[in-house]
Amino acid sequence: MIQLKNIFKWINTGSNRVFILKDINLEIGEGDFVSIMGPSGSGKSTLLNIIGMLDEASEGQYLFNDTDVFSLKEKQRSQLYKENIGFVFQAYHLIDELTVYENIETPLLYHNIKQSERQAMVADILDRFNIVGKKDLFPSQLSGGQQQLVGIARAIVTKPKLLLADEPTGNLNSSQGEEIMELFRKLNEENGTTIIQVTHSEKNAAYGKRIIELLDGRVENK
Amino acid sequence: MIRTFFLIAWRNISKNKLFSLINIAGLGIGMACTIMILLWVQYERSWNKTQKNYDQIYQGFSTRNFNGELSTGSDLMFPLPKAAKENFPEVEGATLVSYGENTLFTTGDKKIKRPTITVTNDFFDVFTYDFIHGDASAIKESNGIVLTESTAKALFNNTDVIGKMIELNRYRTVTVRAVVKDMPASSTLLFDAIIPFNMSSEGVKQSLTDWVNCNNRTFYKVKQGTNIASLEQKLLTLIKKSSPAENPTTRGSLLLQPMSKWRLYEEFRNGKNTGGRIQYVNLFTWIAIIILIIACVNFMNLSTARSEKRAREVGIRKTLGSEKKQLLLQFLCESLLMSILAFILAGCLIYTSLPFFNGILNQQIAIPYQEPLFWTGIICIIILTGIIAGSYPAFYLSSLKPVKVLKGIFLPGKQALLPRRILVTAQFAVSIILISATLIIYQQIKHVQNRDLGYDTNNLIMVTANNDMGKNYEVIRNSLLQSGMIDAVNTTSLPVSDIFGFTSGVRWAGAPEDPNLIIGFLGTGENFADIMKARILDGRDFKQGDSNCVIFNKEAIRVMKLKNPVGTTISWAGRERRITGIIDDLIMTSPYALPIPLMLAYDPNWIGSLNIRIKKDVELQKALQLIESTYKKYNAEYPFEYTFADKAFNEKFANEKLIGSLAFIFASLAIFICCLGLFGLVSFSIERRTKEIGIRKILGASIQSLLTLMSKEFLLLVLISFSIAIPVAWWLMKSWLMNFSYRITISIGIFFIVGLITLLICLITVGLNAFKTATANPVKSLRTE
Repeated sequence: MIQLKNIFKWINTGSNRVFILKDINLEIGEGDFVSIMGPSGSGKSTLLNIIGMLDEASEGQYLFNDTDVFSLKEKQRSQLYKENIGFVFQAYHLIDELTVYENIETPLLYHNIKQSERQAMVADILDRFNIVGKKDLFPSQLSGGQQQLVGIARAIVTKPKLLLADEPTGNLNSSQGEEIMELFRKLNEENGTTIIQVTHSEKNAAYGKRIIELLDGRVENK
Repeated sequence: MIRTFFLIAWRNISKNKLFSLINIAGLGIGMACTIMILLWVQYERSWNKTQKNYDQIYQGFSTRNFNGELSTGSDLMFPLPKAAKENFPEVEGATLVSYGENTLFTTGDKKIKRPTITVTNDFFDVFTYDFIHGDASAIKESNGIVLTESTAKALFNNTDVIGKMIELNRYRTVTVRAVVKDMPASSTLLFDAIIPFNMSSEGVKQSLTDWVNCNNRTFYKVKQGTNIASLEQKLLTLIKKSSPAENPTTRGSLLLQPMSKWRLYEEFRNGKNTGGRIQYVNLFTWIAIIILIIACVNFMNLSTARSEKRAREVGIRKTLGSEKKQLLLQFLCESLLMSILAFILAGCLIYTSLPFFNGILNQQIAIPYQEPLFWTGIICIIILTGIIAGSYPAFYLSSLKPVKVLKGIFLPGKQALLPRRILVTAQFAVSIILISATLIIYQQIKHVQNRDLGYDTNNLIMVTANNDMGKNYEVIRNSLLQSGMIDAVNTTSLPVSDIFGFTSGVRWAGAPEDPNLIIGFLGTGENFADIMKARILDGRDFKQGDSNCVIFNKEAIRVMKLKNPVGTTISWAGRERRITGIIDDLIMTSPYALPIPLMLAYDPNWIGSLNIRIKKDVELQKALQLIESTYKKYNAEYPFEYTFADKAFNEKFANEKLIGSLAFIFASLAIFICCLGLFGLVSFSIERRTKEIGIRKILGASIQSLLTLMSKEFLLLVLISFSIAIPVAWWLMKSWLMNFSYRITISIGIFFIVGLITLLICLITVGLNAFKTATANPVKSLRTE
């Protein structure tokens, strides 16, 4: 599904070139569950953003289902992104002005799904996540764990093939974290969703089928 | 999707109440100004449009050389329109119309005075009106009259009054032959009745062949596609051929002014049509556009100022699959919603302030609810405002990169500030120009109001009179003087506040061969200088029995180049007259113009106005009652009409005062909107510098130094706009002042005051915002980092 070949990423600060990623080669197949680990500043989030097409590499090739991502035009890339990828953030990033229901509905709007269908899909996922009673609340009225549940619900409502999670449990306590990780495992096993998560926690990383460790922008072991 | 856009926009608006209020208020006030000005512009442009032959009607103007100056007037000779129609096939209709007069109508015991026009019987060939009763044949005979609906109701309480008799000026009886609907106030020809010329009167009979004297207006309806320039030539040739001798009209040129220009291009200077009201219409159209742009700029400023907040949402939406296009649309929807709300506010403002606005303008502008064009215009304004105001924030926000904004706290870069700085500078430049203009206009008005008129207008009442008054004048005068409330009484041929007649017929021994010498004249009784409190420079005032005596003013003596004027004999109007005195220049016509040459002729029987000077400490109301009762006692047939000389004089400032008030209103609003914009920019900039200020505070900066730090860059902006605005304002106002011969010179001081005002307003605006940040606890601002 994902093939990264010789990916480099650097930024120029003054006359210095600072490397964030150095020569990353990676293959991730469909149905995989990968945990990316590493200390702060090792390039985990950057790698995730590149895979998630939010960021571009300075050099290298990225094939997504055999499509060369970097050679795509902005519009085609966002189409590819829209159809295949869901994102979950450490800070949840829900839209404060929208209710739980509306937050989950938003990506469906961008997928041009009809209203009746949207209603069914949102209702279905609210039910699955056990948050039907919260649907008219605003994010500020929810606990962190609940907010992250909504975040995940929003990410998977469009049934993406790839779910990217940037420290999804970083702001949660351990029991909430566990709940989220269980959910990920279920998604991976039952729906076959490919998941790539970035995490600091060994315990959470263990939920993955495979762990990639990054250090100073290099892959330490696969 | 659009529905959710509006939903989220609405939640954003209601969540940030102060911000939304400032934003909507700014936009709403701007919109109200713009719509109001455009309503006025539309009104000014709609003049005379109810006339069916609007495109075909022309008014004749003659440009003549008087005292070396070219003067253009619409006064032409009586037989011209008729001859024009007979001689030139392209003239479909032509008519002669008087300049309008107040006519006394008497039916039974009802007496009212109404403005009328006197016309030749081909009047309806040119002008069209809606007949309620009767038709255009009503004035074919001299004994007919056409009333307007309101006049008919005033006279008879009814409009079905065909065949009723009315006595005009106690002199001539006519029959009502038609009643027309009242015309809109936006008509050049305004009247309460149309009277045909009295063909049996000697005066009119003589006029029929008089190709020299010009006393009336002429109007022509020409065929579509007529070559106007060649028709003008043909008319002039006709006048030359028909006139018995050369005169200023035959030596001059002729112009046909289309109806579309009557209202807005009414000014002639040196024989050229230089515009007139159109300059103000254009000026205010621009002001309307500029105010709307200022308001939009504000919106941009305030919206982008909050971009940190919205940036996160943009990032999230992009990761949820939104395209840039959809985000653009969302932000545009949002500004459109703001624009709609602003319009609702503007609507309320217009609705409540239109009467006030009409009061200042002295016009009847109405909101044309039924006009589809009006609503189209409104919708255009709403959409345009929404798009202009929303475009910059929309493009700016929708192009943000999600990785950047989601990583942590997004700080808008310095480069984002530059366009806003330019916008605020431009806003302030415009406001400073408007403030300077306002101050200078007020200075000019004040300057002219304080002008030495050469006579005293205080406590001077002018009562309309006519020659009949001569019979009872002595009795009226004596009984007024006996009351002890009145200082002095005399008569003049016209009110002294008004324009008098002009003559080119003054001759004297040794006069230069200058056929273009034109002198104003006024007939008066004895003690003219005394009652007017005018200064006699040489010789003496008129006294009883001074027949065949004249007094000239200083300016007249100057243009006549007389060495020892007093005692010199001149001839005028077929009589030899002796100059008994020289009077100082009197400002009787335009207070802005240079004094004009004037001749006072002694004639106690030539009465148009009774001038009464009330004693200083007498209560005006009592004096008026006395004058009215005395007047009625001896002159019962005419209604009592009076004006105060100082009031009549003040009315001459109406136009300039109007411009002054409009400039003041719009300047205040513009500066208010600008301050909202500045407020936005300041909060934007401070938001960006919260951390810096926190650190500075921890390092020991005082509140004062922080305030200076934050104010400095804005004061610089104001300084820049000041240096741009001042030359522009100076140049603009200088050219405005060129319109007046009697004017102020613009002093540096005025700009100093403007600078001070602007600076003060800015300091307050910046201070309000900066003070909060400067006094905030730095721990808070740093912790959020």
